[in-house]
This record gives sequence, C-alpha cells and structure tokens, in this order.
Amino acid sequence: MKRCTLFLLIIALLAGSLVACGGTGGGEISVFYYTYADAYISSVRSAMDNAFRTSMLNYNNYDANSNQSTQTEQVDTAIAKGSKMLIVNIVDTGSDDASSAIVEKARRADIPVIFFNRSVSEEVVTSYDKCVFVGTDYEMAGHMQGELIADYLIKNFKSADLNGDGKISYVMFKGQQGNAEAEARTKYAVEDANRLLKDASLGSLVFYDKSNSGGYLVDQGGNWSAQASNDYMKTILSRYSEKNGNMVELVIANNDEMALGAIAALNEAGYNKENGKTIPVFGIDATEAAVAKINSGAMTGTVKQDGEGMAKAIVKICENILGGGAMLDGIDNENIIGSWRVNIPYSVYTKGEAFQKK
Amino acid sequence: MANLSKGQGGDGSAISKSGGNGGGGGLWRGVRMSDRGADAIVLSLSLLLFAFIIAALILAIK
Amino acid sequence: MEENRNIRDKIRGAFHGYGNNIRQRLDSFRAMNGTDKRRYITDLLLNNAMFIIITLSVIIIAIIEPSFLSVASIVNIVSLTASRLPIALGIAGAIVLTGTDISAGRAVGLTACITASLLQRAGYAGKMFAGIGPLAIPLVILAVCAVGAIIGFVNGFFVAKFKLHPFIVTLSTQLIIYGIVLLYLQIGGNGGQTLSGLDPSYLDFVSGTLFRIGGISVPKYVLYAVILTVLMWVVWNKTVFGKNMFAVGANEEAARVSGVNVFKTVVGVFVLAGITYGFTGFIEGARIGSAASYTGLNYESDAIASCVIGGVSFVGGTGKIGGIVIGVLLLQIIFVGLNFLSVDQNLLYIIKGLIILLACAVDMRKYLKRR
Repeated sequence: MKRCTLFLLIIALLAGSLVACGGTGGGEISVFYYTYADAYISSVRSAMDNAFRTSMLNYNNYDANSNQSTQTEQVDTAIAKGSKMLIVNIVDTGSDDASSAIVEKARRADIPVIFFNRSVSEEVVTSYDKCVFVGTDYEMAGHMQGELIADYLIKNFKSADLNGDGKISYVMFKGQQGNAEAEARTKYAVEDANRLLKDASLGSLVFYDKSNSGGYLVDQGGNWSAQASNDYMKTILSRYSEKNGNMVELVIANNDEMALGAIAALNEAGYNKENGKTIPVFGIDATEAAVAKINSGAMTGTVKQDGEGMAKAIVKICENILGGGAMLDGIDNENIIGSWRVNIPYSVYTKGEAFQKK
Repeated sequence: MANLSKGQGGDGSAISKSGGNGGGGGLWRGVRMSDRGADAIVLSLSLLLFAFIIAALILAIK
Repeated sequence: MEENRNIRDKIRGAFHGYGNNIRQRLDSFRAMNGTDKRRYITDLLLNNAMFIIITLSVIIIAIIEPSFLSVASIVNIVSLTASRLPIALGIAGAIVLTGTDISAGRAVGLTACITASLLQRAGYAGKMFAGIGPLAIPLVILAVCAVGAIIGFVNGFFVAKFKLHPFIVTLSTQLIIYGIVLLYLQIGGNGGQTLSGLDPSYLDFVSGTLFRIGGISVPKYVLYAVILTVLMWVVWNKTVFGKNMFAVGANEEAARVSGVNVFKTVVGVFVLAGITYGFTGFIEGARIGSAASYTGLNYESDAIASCVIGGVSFVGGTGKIGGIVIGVLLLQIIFVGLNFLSVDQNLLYIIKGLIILLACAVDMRKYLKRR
C-alpha cells in the first residue's frame, strides 16, 4: 500500500510539472521542415538556426522526411508541448487539406503560424489573422530561367545548334510531380525562352524526344535529385549523340542538383570539360556547387534563391509577433503582397563571358 | 528511376525457418502446392509480365 | 613448357567435358518417355521464364529501335551494370544465408558522403573540411570500406548473436545510418548541403576513360567491378569461408553440428557485404558527381531483385556469382530498353514489381516440397 501511494504521488507530481511547463511562456518556436535532405531547405535551415541563436530565441527543428502525416503529427506534439509559434514548410503542396488542418489547430491553440517556401494557398493563409506566408514568387524562378536561356541562345544560337537544323533540342528535368514550383519552372522556362527567341526571329526549343508529350523527365522519387537526372542523361546520351546527328543541345533543370547530375553524365561522355564541347546547362538555386561549376564553365547559368534572405525575414516576423508588434514590421515593402505574403526576390547568377557573342 | 518503396523485392524471409531442412529448403517449407499449381503460377505471372511489357512498348510507339 | 601444355590440356579437357555433358543430357533426354520429356521441357521453359521474356523483349525493342544495339547503347548498359554490380554481390551473401539486407542503400549513401567529403577539391567554397586538401585515394577507399565493414559487423552481430531476423536488424540499422548521414552532412563548412566540388583526380579515377570502343569511352569503374566480381567468385568458391557460408545458408543446425563456426560465418558475410557497400559508395560519389542525403536511396531493391533473378534463392544455401552478374545485366537491359522507347514511367514500376514476383515464383517452383 505504501509503495502504491508513493508511486501515485510521483505520477501526480510529474503530471503537475508537465502541465505547468506547458502553459506558461516557456514555449519554444517550432520549425517544421519538409525534409532535411533538400539542399536549398538546408541552407535556409542553417541560416535560420544562426539567426535564432543570435537573437537568443528558443527554437526546435523537426524533419518530416517528405511525409505529410509525420509533419501533422509533429505539429500536434509541438502544440501539446506548448509551442508559441509554428513555422511550417508544408510537405503536401497539392491540396489545402494539410495546411488548413494545421491552421485550424493553431487557431484553436491561439498560436501564430508562418508558412514558408512550399506554397500554401491564399485562402488558407488569410483565413487566420495570425498567419503569414514567406516564400518566393515561385513563378519568377521559371520566368527568369527562361529569360536567361533566351539571352544565352540569342547570343550563341549558331554555336549551340549542333546539327544546324534551326531548332534547339533540349532536355527538361522536373523535380517532382504535383509541386507548384516544379510545374511553374517547367512551364515558364521553355515558354518564355521560346517567346523571346521568336521575337528575335530565331528557331525555337524543341524537346529532344518527340514521343514524350509532357516535355519533361521527372524524378520519380520526388527528390529533385542528381541521381535521377544522371540516370536519365546517361541513357539519353547513348542514343542521342553528335554521331547520330540528334545530340541534345540544351539541358534545363528545375534545380541545381538535377543540373549537376546531368553534367556528371555529360562529363562521362566527354562534354563540359576543360577542353571539348560544352552543352549549355541551366539550373535554379545557385548552390555552392553550381556556382563553382558556372565559374569553371561546366554550367551556364542559374537563378539564386535567397535562402539567407528568407531565413532573415522569417526570424524578423517571429520577433515582431513575439514582441507584440505588427507582423510585417521592418520587411521591405516591395516584397509584401497584400497583407498575407512576403516574397523574397530571386536573382540571376552567371558568368559574364558565357554570354559574349561567339 | 529505381525508387520502389521499402519492403518490395526481397524480404521474402518473413516466413520463419525452424531447424531441419527436409527435402525442400527452409523458405518454402510451409508452402503446400501441387506441381500443377506452381506451374500455373509461374506461367500466368510470365504471361502477365510479358503482356505488360508489350503494352508498354505499344503505348510508347503510338 | 610443361605447365603450358598442362594448361592447354586442361582447357581442352574442359571443352570436351562440356561437350560430353551436352551429349549426355541429349542422350538421357531421348531416352525419356513421353511424360518425362514433357516435364523436362516444361521445367526448362518455366525455370528460365525470366530469361526468355527478357530476351524476347530485347529483340522486339531492337527491331523497333535498332540503335538500341549500337556500341554507345551497349557500353551504356555495361557501365550501368558495372555500377550496380558491387552492391548486388554484397547483398547476395546475405540472401544465401536466407536473410536480406535492406540497410545496403543507406550504407552506400553514408560511404558516398564520407568519400565525397574527403575528396573535395581544395579551395572549393563550400568545402566540408576546409583545412585539408583532397586525401590520397587509396586511403579513402580503405576508410570507407572500413566504415562499411563496421556497418556489416553491427548487422551480422545482431543477427548471429541474438538470432534476430536480418530483416528487422537491417531495418533498424538502415534508420540509424540515415540519421548518421544527416548529422554528417552538417559538419564543418557544409551545413546540410549536397557534397560537391569533387577533386578532378577522384572523378578521373572512377569515371575516366578505360579504353575506347568505336569512339565511345568505357569508364574505369567497369574494370573495378570486374575485379570485384573475380574476388567474390574466389571467396565464394575457393575459400573455406565461402563453403561455410553455403553450409550455414542451407542448414544452420547441420552446419553447426559439423563444426562450422556459425557466428563467425554470419558476421563475416555481413562484413563482406558492408565492404562492398563501402566500395559502391566510393564509386557512386564520383559517378553522379555529388553526394547528398538521398544518395543510395532504395539501391537495395534493385540489388535484391537482380540476385533473385540470377538464381540466388531465398531458400538459402545456393547461388552463383555468374548468375548474379546475369541478373544485374538483365535487369539493366530491360529498363534501359524500355527507357530507350520513352515508355511511360508509371508502367515501369508495375513491370519491375512483376519481374520480382516472377523471379520469386520461379524460385518457389524450383525448391518447394513436391507433394
């Protein structure tokens, strides 16, 4: 009997302390990443961790491993633990269910939510006054890539058109299906490039494979990975080559990872090296690796996603909310859309000489 | 391309093996099947696979 | 001189033996009565159903698209096979022990990341270990093979000591390794990024031209795969360890009673597998040009499928190196072939699943207890 009561007492104490901990301001800032494996998101994560540490804010990171149910459960746990702020990089961008579910939970617990990078629809964000979205005008990346490609081709059309048929045969690597960013980048890179080429009275981009109606090759695992593009590119190069007169003349990738995978395959076939032909390759993200390759000439251009800028904006909004001030205080007005969204601008990265007329 | 989910292609040893061998080998010991049954399964799977490959090729050429 | 003659005689003898073998089989075939003949043919057809289907498919593909048989295409298939072969050779050992090893893919990922981090170009902006230049390649190979061996040891230890099922053990180690990969990528100047900016000497060592055929260069890693295959063949067929492996796989109790150290054998098999994963990671880093946390994801599914196709049975205790090579080759041929014709990617999943099912069914048919 005595042991029983002692046991019960301990349980009661523990329960009591847990409840006490949960309720008051000892809460953490909970950051939910769609996956730790994504290179760009990792750069945002590093920058955000640093910013939180500098501002001495108590934070905790969660990895959803590309699984929405995992992420939703993590949100539940964080709220139960007494989180005071949810910063969510939603996994499932295809529909509103997941994001509105999270907004509901946050509303019930009266906790602010900041969605970032992976798109969440306007209705969901505006449905809750303590909710904001920090991202990029994701269509911009596709547009900028398209303009970059057109810029390059207009200056180098003759040398790029290896078989002289007046068209540029290209490969498009798509990061994943059902992702708004991937769709936009896949679509606009080619559309914009073709529009500008037409204006300059030059030939257009034609997908290298006539029987592929979609006009892209997607990473089946949805990982925007170098492995996928490398596998594809190797097989493509064994069939489409200069000897067969149908060599691929341009490589466009939704991100730098896939561009690098393609470059590795091109290298194996003898292209894009110090001495030898170079096939223009374009990516998006401006990762360290891509910047290095562009500087060395193996890659032609990329569009920089400002990971640090995104992290800084998110942390600033955090501080604003926790300090009781207006959410979007101190954020550059140019980047604010309505009252619900902040877009971090892109910039182009390329080496000047690549664009000189040859 | 090779992105199947885990658990496919290889964990057939889920059927536990108890000591001793007896004529057939540990894994398929619990399987009771006639000659004809096994033949039928292999034959039908082969035809199914072949059908899918041909279907894929036809769809691709179209 | 004497030796040369002996070798010539031996080769001649081997051919004669082979010829005799065929003659014997033909004779015994003719000697069979009707039903036996039918059974023999059915067996022949069904046991080799996979090869027949793939051969037919390849012929059809070649007819539709003749460039499938061009030098470039064949070199492509050979190099893809060479890249997938080491991991299959390693996993085969686990399958012979009637187990499996699903930590293989992640192990490749970890070793690829370690290799890449030690062989980054000096002066690369996002270098993980900023202070040091790229290390000596043989040193790095030894290091990652050692890491692979450690992973194998952990796997083998838990399987052998606690009699846990390899599926569960390797499932756990798979998760642990993934966590280690994520942590490792955070070290130093890397901060979770993909490891890139690899030293040209490393890239050349792996993907450089071995020799040229008709203008197409064959990469060096094909040679490394061949060397590894020969080594594994020697281990499997000419060492006591190899014989023990087959004995334990066929009947663990009998092997133990015959004096085989089952514990050492099981651990040894997994350690050997781990070493091949380390080697695969070393190759993959250069082949793809970068290493990230998703590197190696699901590699084991292809490897296991190739082994089953190649005759390494799930009942354990049986398997041939030659079969594994053929298994990997066939799997690559069918998928490169289908990709050649831009087949709908979604169908490829179904086809791969059916291939694996068929391989298992053929395996079952060969070894199940006949009623």
